[in-house]
Amino acid sequence: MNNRRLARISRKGYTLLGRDSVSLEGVIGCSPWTNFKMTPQVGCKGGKRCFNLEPVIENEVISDEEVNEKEILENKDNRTINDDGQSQSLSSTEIEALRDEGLSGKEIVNQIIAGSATFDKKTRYSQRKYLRKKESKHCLRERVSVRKTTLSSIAEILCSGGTGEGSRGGITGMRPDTLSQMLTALNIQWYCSSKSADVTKIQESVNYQGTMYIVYESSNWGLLVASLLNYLPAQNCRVLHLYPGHGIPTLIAPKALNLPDGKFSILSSVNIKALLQKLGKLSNLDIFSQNDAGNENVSKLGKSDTNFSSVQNVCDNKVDQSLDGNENGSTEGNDCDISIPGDTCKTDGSNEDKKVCEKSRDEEVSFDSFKSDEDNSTAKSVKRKAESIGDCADLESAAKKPRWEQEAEKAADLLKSRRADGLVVVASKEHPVSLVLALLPYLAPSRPLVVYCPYREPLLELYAVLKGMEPWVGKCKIFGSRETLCKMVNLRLTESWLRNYQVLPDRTHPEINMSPVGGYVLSGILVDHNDI
Amino acid sequence: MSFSGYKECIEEGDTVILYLNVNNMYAIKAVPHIRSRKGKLVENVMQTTCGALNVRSLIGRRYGHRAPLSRGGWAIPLHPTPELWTRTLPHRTQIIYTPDISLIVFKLDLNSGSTVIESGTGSGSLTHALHRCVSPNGCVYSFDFHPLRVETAKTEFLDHGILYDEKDESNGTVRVEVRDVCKDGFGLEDVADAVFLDLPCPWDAIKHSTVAIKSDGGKLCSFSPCIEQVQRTVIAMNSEGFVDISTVECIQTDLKVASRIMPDIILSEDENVKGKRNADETEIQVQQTKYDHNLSFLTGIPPNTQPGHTGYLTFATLPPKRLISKNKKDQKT
Ligand SMILES: C[S@@+](CC[C@H](N)C(=O)[O-])C[C@H]1O[C@@H](n2cnc3c(N)ncnc32)[C@H](O)[C@@H]1O
Repeated sequence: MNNRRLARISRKGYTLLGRDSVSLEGVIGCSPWTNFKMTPQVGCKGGKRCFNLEPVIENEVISDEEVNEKEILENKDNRTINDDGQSQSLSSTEIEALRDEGLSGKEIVNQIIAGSATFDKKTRYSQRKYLRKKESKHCLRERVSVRKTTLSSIAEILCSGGTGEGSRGGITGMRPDTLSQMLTALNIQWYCSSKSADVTKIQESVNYQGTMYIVYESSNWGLLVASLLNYLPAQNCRVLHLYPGHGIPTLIAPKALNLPDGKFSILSSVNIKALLQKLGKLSNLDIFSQNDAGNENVSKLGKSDTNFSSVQNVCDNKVDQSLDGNENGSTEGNDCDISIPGDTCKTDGSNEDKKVCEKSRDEEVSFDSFKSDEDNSTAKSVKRKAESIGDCADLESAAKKPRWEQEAEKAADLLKSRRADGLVVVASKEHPVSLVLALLPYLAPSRPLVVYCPYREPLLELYAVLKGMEPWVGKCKIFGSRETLCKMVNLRLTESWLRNYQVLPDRTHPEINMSPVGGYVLSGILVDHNDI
Repeated sequence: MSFSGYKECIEEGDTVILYLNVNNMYAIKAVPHIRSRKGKLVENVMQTTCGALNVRSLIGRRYGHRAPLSRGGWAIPLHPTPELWTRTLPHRTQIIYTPDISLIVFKLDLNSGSTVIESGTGSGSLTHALHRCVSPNGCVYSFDFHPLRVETAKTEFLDHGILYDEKDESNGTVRVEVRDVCKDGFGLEDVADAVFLDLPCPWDAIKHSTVAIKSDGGKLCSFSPCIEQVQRTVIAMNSEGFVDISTVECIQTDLKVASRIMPDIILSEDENVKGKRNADETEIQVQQTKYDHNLSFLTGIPPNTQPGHTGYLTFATLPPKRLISKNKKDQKT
């Protein structure tokens, strides 16, 4: 598969391709599928080589090249090739040095061929494979193509941390196939319940009668939020996005979908503790004693409302900034996905080669900077800004409730009037038991619960608790009643296995590398034991 | 009509999934009477392993609320979903199962409003999931060359409220037609966002798929159990100008959650015990306390056997058609 990056297009925006910084300005105004040539920029910043993108007029589609049958059946074999690592006289560092000197990709490829003692002895198929590996490692093709983003391409890029397909996410370990299974289990659908017998009851309290989903997602780039927004229409439905702590988590994926503005009107992001407080349930939250780090936040939240809202705003700005590259408030921010021909994933070469390749891949992950929670420096700068903004926010809030509180109140009103059609919890940082037990009362009967966790054990525990198995139920000090227990049917814990194939005439086999785990999913359907 | 959106209570004619336990689920139609073998209308009574259920009693009951069985057990009528339907539907052909369906719907980049073509219709397992994804504004075209299968599928889709009907304002999106798509194509041009093929000879339908896909390009997926089929299909996709061709295989494993105990074996006696060799009682006591150390733990146990292969899914992207014709011309010259 192609080498892809997610980039927000703007006049001053840059994206990283290997060690190269590429200006995205040239993309503005071009249609998807346009191909670009990377032309060197004069003057570099921070020691990186910088390139501009220039549309290529003769439009061929950049993709994995076709391999024709004759090449493969060529009458050569490797009996004369020694695998002593000596056959290429240019080292990786030397190749990078050539790049730094300003040689073009083509020139370097020629040097690589000249430097290879065995190139002529290879079949044309393995010659090409060899060059492709080198090209993608050192970004020698200098060709780029832009595509429109889709949910699956965004998921594939984000889940692999920026490259390749079928590998899994740096932060949450969620593989796209696991995501797809969660989405079907969640039964995301649209309806207008005007035909339902209960219309009047519903109409009394809310002004729409469509579907409503609750999604708890604290990181994961907002992939589940993005999926719900992608599959639901812009009317008659509601997505309640719950998050912990201060500030809406970075919703990279939903923003990258380039959705029409109306779509975001069905989304409300609400702090989970604020919501539970408004629902009068907060005391219920301290069920899992070892999981109580969050309680600090509650008290903070009560004390300094203004600070909280301003942090939230600053966080939002921060995301936009990073997405836009260097540009503040750009107008042409459209996300696209960028493909570079070549393949960093296919490393069937020597071990050493593989290491270098992985390393270079790490450098390419431009999304690291978005992990605001983990990135100390970002967090610090956010705090500093929050303090300065805090002063002016104080004045405003005297007149008006902060936005997070309004959102929490609206959401609480909604949940008092009706229950959700689906509940999905992405437990990538927080333990799922408390979260699920706190939210399950707001799920309607015969509707699905879906929980993701990168690890198996928390879901085993959740399963045991939901089934009412001792001693696990006892361990989590269920307050008051056991109402939410023993109410799940079709409860399943699943794991997905995905294998990619190389399909070529006479050379079909599974890809050498695969991702051995893509996260775990618990799913089930809530039922009611009142037999009416 | 219960596949087009959730409802609170069971209405007459609804398809209901009767849940007894994880391994016992049945799709039934909520009607008070059925025809007996002799053609007489009789009371609709369903016999389950846990007792009999008078189906009439389900009507008006809430989805997800349990219903009593004759022998004191319970059955839970669940709202049907494409997944539950796939697990309970009457098989007329091989069907596609949920893990593959998930990946197909996801990677075909469908959403509400998309137009998608599938062939063959088969038992309609995938069709339900396609409908859910593209409704309310989208469109599913489903073709099969087997007239009886098409007829049965149509009745089923109508029953489930997912069949398109121009006279009716319902939410149906599915249009089914008898057609040999390998020989005659889809009879559609520049309309589809995506095409899905589950055919014995998918390579013969690739060129027709190119015609059917929108001029701005779209997605294609083919499901084949055999690798030889995949190889021929990939060659056909290549020569039609499809790019980003990728073949994957996906298997889902169910883990049975259970609590297990592994007693610790005492391999060394400590000094204390040795000294009291003769005092039997104390020794037993010491040993027992050690065994109380039994480590009970939760584990997820995979089944002894499970399907290890369903089929290969080959995905491909068609670029905007203006680019392909040029590409192909270039190749010829
Ligand atoms: C395996 S079944 C499809 C199952 C379906 N995808 C499902 O999930 O229920 C294959 C179907 O393709 C149909 N078929 C085979 N060749 C065909 C052709 N040339 N044109 C149309 N349908 C064809 C068969 O009649 C059969 O019903």
